[in-house]
Amino acid sequence: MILSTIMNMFKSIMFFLMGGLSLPSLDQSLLDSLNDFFNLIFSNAGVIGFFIRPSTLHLLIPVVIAIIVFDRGYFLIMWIINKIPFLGMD
Amino acid sequence: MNYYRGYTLEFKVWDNSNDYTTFDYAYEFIPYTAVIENGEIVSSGDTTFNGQDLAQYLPQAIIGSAPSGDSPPTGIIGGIYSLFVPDSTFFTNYFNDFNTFLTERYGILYQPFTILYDLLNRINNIDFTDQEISIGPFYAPTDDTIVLIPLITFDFSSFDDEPKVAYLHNLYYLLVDGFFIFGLIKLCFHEYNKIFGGAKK
Repeated sequence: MILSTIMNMFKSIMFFLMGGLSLPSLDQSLLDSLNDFFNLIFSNAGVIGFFIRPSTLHLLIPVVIAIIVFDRGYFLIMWIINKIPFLGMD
Repeated sequence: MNYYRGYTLEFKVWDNSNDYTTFDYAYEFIPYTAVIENGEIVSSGDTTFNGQDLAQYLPQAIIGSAPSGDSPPTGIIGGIYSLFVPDSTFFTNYFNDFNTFLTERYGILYQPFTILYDLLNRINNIDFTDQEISIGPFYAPTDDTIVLIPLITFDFSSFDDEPKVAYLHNLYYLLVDGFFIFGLIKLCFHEYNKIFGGAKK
């Protein structure tokens, strides 16, 4: 109840501050075309499972993403640690 | 034979609009003895609520517990829990309100985020076991009754109906798995050298 009251107050303030703008949406025909294109691609994307084992894909995709972003995370952590003077790490 | 008799304690929690939620806390674990013949209770033990039961079970009912699974919050702990933790639908409704507001007010600026969300959702929901490809039908731009390209469907998994092809397909899967594992190890070495090999990016 307390948390929800605070969050609702935040929402009201944000709506008040951001409410001054009213922009039009993208053209509906453009959105429909985009949607059709996505439907065409993703309704047939399951065929990748014929060329690569589905379980391998499910396992590899998160692991590969984790490895690729690992260095960025590592450099971020090292940057923070380097900012702490009494650790004496360069 | 031992049976159980139950009683229910009712709690009410008021919110700021003077509306209250009622929840019951049922105890069904007070054993008593009964004799049943032909589906009817012939004689039973003491089923009245006595002071000993009250002393034993009332503290538990008052203290209560936080919700777990389908059981609602109960007692004082449940009350405190409800005071701080919003119900399960609160966050969904909260972010839906934001989404509606941004869609209505920011239109074209908010559209890329909606499309990105849709795209990620579609990627997440790809069913790799459904190995069927279907393209079309494509109609003429000016007339929906004229079919330029009819519906073409092909099920790749139908290859596996033939046992020899299925065997070869499994061998192929094995080869591809090996290729990917090799690539993954190579990627690990590459990342290791990038981090500890002196590169700064």
